[in-house]
Amino acid sequence: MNPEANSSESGRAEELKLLKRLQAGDERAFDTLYSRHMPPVYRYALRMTGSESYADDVVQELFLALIRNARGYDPERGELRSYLYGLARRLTLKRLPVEISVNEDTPEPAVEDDPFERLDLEQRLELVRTAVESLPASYREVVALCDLEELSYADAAVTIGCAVGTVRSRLHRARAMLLGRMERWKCRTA
Amino acid sequence: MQDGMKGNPEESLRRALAEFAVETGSGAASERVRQSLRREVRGRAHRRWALTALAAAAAIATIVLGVTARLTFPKPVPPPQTAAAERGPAGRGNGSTPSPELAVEATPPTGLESGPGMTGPGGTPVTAAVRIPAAAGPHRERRDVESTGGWRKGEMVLSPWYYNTALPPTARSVLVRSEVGARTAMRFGVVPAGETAPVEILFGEDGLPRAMRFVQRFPTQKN
Repeated sequence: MNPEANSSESGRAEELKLLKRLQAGDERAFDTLYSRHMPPVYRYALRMTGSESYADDVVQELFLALIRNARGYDPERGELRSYLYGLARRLTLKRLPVEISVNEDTPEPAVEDDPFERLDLEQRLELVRTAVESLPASYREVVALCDLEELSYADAAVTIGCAVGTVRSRLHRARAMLLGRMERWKCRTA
Repeated sequence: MQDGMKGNPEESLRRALAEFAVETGSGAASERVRQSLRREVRGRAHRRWALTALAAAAAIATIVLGVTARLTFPKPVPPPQTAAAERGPAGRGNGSTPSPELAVEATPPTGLESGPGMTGPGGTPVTAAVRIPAAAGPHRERRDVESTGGWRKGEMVLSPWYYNTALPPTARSVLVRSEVGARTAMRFGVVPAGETAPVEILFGEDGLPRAMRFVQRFPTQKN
């Protein structure tokens, strides 16, 4: 028996018990699940929307759905964390404006210069924040999940509902877009 | 502070993203959200408790009503088993064949035997006797009791009197017709057409009532 699989199974069983207790009105179960799953969901929503109030709304709506069991969680299909990311993704995308689709075949121009050169931490953070928020949602979410939340490509693929290869290619392109935009903004501000 | 990075742009981006992740990693939803969700959980617990209490109350009410009904109303009677078989020519009185609608089910007290002494209102004799073996136990038998004196026989059971089981068995019994007030009848679940309801009461030879049933009058009866 694979010990990782065993621990994963017991973890799912424990979370399922907590979920049932939560749906029965157990406040302790709520505290446990909330403290465990609220931070990543909030971070993801905040990085996707760039708005604290939107992120609050996403967290509230997500946990309400969890309490009311509006969208049943099936432990056979994956971990609660992945399920919650998927739910948070749907709730977040509802709040984002409709975007014009990006042609994924068009190569992003390579950036030779380091856009972060001679920038202090605050400037770098502001530059990254602006660049991430300017990305199309489909690219922003792979950056949020893989680069910022450090999910594996496989987990991100489950969350997004696409192939691992798609995640990889989107991430590659998203990074190139980030660099290109940051370089342009840096030149403009300089 | 100038702590700029120089070198590979992709490596710089990776480090900058890591810094950004740390900087935004400590965020949390506002306390308002937590309190709102907590209220929802608490409300759910209350609703669940209320539903459980309601279900328990309904169950208790059902039990209480069942017990009350059992104490107040007569027990339902299973269909008669040997109606025709137990009707013999000898038990017909004057030999006439009674119509099926005159057949009456009875739940006689154990050990009772009604006989020639059965009388109706005004001393009208009830011609058909009811013979119940003493060893017959509490089972129910169909008996033919011919009606006279303007009484209609309904398919009603003779309900044992409440204290019937405490009475000694009697060898003979008499069926007496009488009337009870509407209020009394309604306590038994019978809604009379008038102010009174006709009943038949089975008395033992000791003069104590053993059972009772409600009957209907003939439509042509003048009262």
